[in-house]
Amino acid sequence: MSSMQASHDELLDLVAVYALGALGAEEARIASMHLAVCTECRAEYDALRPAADAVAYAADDRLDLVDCPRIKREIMRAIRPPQRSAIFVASTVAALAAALVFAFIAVSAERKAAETDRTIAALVGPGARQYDVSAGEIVKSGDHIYLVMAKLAPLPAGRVYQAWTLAPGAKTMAPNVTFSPNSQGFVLVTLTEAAQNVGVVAVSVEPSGGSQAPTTKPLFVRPLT
Amino acid sequence: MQDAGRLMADVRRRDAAAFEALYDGFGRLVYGIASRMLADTATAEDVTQSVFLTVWTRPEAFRGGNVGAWLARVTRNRCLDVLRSRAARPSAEMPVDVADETALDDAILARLDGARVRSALALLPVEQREPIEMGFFDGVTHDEIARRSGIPLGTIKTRIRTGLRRLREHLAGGAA
Repeated sequence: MSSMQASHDELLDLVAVYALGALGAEEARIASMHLAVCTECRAEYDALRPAADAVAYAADDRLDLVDCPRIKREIMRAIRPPQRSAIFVASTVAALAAALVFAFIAVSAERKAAETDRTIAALVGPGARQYDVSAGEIVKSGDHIYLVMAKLAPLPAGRVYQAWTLAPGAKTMAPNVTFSPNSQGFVLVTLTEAAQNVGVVAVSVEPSGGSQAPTTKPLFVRPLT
Repeated sequence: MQDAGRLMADVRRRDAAAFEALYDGFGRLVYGIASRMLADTATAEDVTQSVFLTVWTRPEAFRGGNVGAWLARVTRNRCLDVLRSRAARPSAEMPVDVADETALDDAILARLDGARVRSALALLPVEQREPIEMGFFDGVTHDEIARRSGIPLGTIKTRIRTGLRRLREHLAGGAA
């Protein structure tokens, strides 16, 4: 269906489904474009969207009441860890991106924890700069560039994600580290190229062991500007 | 609960007490959405933590409007991501994330709670309530709703629209 072919009543119906968030990509694009130019449909959307959002509140009828306080304790611990340990003090300052909680949840060795804390501190430090990408964020902090990926799909055996960098003025992507997300799609990666040498970051899916040049269309290509 | 917009402003200033109050106000909502959409306690907990830690680390993502509605959309979008990653056929069409940055505010959002919304939904005819709940919580498109229910797509769309309008009326009029 195109916006030209659809009757206006059909478009009003489509806008209602859009407000509910139940359209596929193509129809959502049509609805979004139409809303930009049609005041009647925009008014309908503005009226129905709050009702659609209200539906969410119906979901708290099936909760195990024990869960919420326990989750709260874990979250508060993440943002306010104990004060007596220097390692945990570093974590307090870190402010902890959600993805990092998942990425580091399984880390237990003290040496690894200290390394993790340094990384987190770099990610959220005053000089850190974030660049949104489809699967998470790229963070530039000091000499380092980090990929904080929160939405990566699992890959079949024999495939890995690989980062690529493009130096300012260069025309060819340079291969960087390969990595795989955890079961939740989260992973934190530190690129091996110094930040000052990187103008663009990309990630693609490659065979295990990595490639010398991308062999698949990158998930994203992000200029750090 | 204190004014949620004020709490968000305090969270921007790194006020942990405000963050805790925000969790007290909306933790059940976020966890409830995730539990219902994912039907998996462990992942629902992960999503809940992810949503609230995002609030703590990136409070600027909230650009005004109703805090609860914003958190609900953020949560739903995170759950859609999880459902996509679980999909047996990655190419199968799923609903796109709905923008969560809209500074949405509306009188009917001002005093919502679960019981009130459930009562309002219960006033809808089942043929309107079901596609609305499927569309919101099951992470499926209207095409899939039509396929599952064996009802023409055009009818499903009209029922969703009519149902949302009635839901709005019930919530606005206090009929619930």
